[in-house]
Amino acid sequence: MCASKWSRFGYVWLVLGTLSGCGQDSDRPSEVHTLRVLAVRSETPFTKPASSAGLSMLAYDGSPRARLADGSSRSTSTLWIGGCINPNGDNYAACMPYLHEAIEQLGDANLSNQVVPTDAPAGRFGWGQTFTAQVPADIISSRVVAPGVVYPYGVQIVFFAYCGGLLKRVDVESTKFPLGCFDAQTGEALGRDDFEYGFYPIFSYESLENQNPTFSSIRFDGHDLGAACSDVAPCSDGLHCGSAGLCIPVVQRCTQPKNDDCPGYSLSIEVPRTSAELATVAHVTASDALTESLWVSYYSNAGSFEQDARVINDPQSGWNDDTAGKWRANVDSSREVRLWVVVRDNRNGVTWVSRDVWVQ
Amino acid sequence: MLRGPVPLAKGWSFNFGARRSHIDTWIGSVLSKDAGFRTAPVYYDWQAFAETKPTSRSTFRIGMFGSDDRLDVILKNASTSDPGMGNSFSDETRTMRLQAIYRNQVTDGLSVNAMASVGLDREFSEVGALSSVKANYVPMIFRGDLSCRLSDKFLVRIGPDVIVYQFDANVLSISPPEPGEMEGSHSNRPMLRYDNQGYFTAPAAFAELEWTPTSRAKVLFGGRLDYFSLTDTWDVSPRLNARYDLHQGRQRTTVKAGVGMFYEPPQIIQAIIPFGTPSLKSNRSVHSSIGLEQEVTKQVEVSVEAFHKYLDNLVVSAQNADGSNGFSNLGRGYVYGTETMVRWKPGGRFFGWIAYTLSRSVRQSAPDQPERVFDFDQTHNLTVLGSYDLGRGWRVGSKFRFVSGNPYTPCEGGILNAASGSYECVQGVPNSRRIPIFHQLDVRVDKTWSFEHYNLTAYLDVQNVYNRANAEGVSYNYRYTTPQWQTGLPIIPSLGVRGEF
Repeated sequence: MCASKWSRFGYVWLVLGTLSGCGQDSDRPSEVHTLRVLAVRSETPFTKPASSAGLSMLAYDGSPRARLADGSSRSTSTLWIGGCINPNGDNYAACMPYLHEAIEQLGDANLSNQVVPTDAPAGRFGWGQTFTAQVPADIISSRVVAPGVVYPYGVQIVFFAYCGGLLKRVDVESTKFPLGCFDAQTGEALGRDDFEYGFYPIFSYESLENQNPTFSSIRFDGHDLGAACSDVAPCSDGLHCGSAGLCIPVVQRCTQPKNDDCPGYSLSIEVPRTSAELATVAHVTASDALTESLWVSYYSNAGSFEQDARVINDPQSGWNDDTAGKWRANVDSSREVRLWVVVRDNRNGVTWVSRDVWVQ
Repeated sequence: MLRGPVPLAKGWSFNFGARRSHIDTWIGSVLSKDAGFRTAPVYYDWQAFAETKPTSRSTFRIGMFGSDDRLDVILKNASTSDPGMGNSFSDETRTMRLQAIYRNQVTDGLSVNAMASVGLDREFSEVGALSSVKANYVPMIFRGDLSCRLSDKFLVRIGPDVIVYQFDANVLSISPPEPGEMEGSHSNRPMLRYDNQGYFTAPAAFAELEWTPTSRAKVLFGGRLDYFSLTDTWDVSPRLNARYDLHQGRQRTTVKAGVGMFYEPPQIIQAIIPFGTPSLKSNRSVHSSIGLEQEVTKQVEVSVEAFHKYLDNLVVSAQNADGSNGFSNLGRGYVYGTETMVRWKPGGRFFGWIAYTLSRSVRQSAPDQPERVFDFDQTHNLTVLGSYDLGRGWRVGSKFRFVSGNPYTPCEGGILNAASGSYECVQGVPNSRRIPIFHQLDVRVDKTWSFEHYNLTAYLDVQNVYNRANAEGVSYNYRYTTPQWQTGLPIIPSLGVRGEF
């Protein structure tokens, strides 16, 4: 009896798992060598009833299959499915039967043509890397308020599928994701290196708000964002005119056999402390709330970061100023490399920025 | 540990012991790459008791014991699987008890035992963005029994078993992960809050009647009445056990059988709002068994027992009527198997045993849900243990274990929670796979030197002699596409010395 205390919460295994380095070093989230969705952002992480939420996706096709034989990039398809309102336990998995119905409604022809049916309700389907979700007026009032809830709320789970080919319905049980990804040329089923699916929950409160985190500066090895450049307006020494028409830093390719022996270049961002808001949510008032957890995730399509993510604000131990990512140019050949920085809070706030670097 | 007479208190003796962990002296060097300790993990426990014999038939023991366990860590690296959980972890658990125990064999047929304790427990823990727990408890416990032989054939035993907890808890936390739940995105789960003070009580009483109708037979009727205030539940647990000697004396043969009902109240967190469901009842099981004991020689005894457990009212995760996460009593299941034991009794130079259990344990989350094997189902569980006195203070012992791997639920890839940037395991068929078989050999050699006032023992203990990399669980890469076994401890030799004065 006396053992049935709060220690049974079971967090210890989470922490010890992290301490003991569980996970596989050879497959790191910061190294984007497959087709990946890196982030989804809502303009309004908490969206009021009877309004819309503009979602955008940060995605990159880093799969070895992304380059076609003729040197061009393969076409990809991105589908959004909104409308799963207040699933049991606010759990995405409870939406799977709804997703099957929605895909049935979308139909195979619209799937292959990447078209939204004209009779589909607004906010049900969308193609491309942005989507507008509609929050019903009764998203809060239609659900029973659970005991202990101070701020009644509703939640909509928006799903997405990003595919390095064509999306097709697959015959799986109703608890599984109903779409598969198939090569546009051969029809071959593509695996998880070429197919990503996921979800973004949009919480809806009458009164609570949450702002996306912001950052005031980003610097790579001391360089701010470069000036515009072109063939007629080249960059100054030490900079290279990148594919986006901006001057980008040049670093030396590292040929050391061990990554740890390569010099690290700092990618630093400055996040204002005001980004760590009070984490008021359904059960927690402002007087009881901790601050938000804030963290930064680093990604690159070549080379490697020393750490995949850094904690910016821990609600218990506080603010951390040392959040720079250390990137190493262990790249096979001279090329332009893209580095992404994604800052998140634990109330679904997201913001991102990218920088390009020339490795020679 | 120290024992001896209490100075200036005739008839009283004392017993004092204390231990301190040494993990803080070396764990920093092991984990320094990933973690920075503000307080390295330190564990103490201690006890101090005084004992007397008020009469030749009674003893009275009073004293205190406690423990203190602390850890405070800031991780240098964020978690790969869930960086939003933060990078700090602290835990402080303290326990202290004042305990008194009284035993009195009043007459040959009447005895009284009683134990009362009161204490202070404190539990403070903080896990980054996941939880903050501050809880203080005052546990008050009273247990006792009165045993009375009514005649040659009847013995009655009755007693109370009372637990009262006064608590003051301030908890801010996400819903705790379920046992067996995969790592994944926890940091974006909404925080829940519990701030309350009060009492919960769990009084119980039991009664047993032992009937010995003949010298060959013994029957035990029993029952227990439990109340659990948190769920406002009364549970009545009748039990019946019987033994009969088919053959007495040397090469004794005994058959035995039993049936009984058992209850286990839900965990506190399962029964309180907003984490759980207050309308829960206790988990219930009906155990039944039948077995045979056979003395083969003076030293060797064999026993075989078949058992079955029917489980219902099991607390399982479920949605509350309002759609929030909670629990229900819809779970059910069963366990059956056999236990076989061959025992070489102590007394000579050798003692040891071979124990083998063959079993199957099955659960259902609800009557309309498919059956699955239980998380800790072990089809085969074999232990072989032996110890031999070589003489001149030398003793050698060994233990071998062979156990089926626990079931686990495989991940069929991951689904991206784009708000947190972490992946969640897409679960396959529950408990449809098993980790590999566990087997391990441990060996120990002792040498004891006996002196006039003390004994000195030196030992060499080698665990996992052949350095088997036993799998203890499965972990995945960040996208849940590639599984990997998590292995247990390698070969661990240890040398030690123990003195007894």
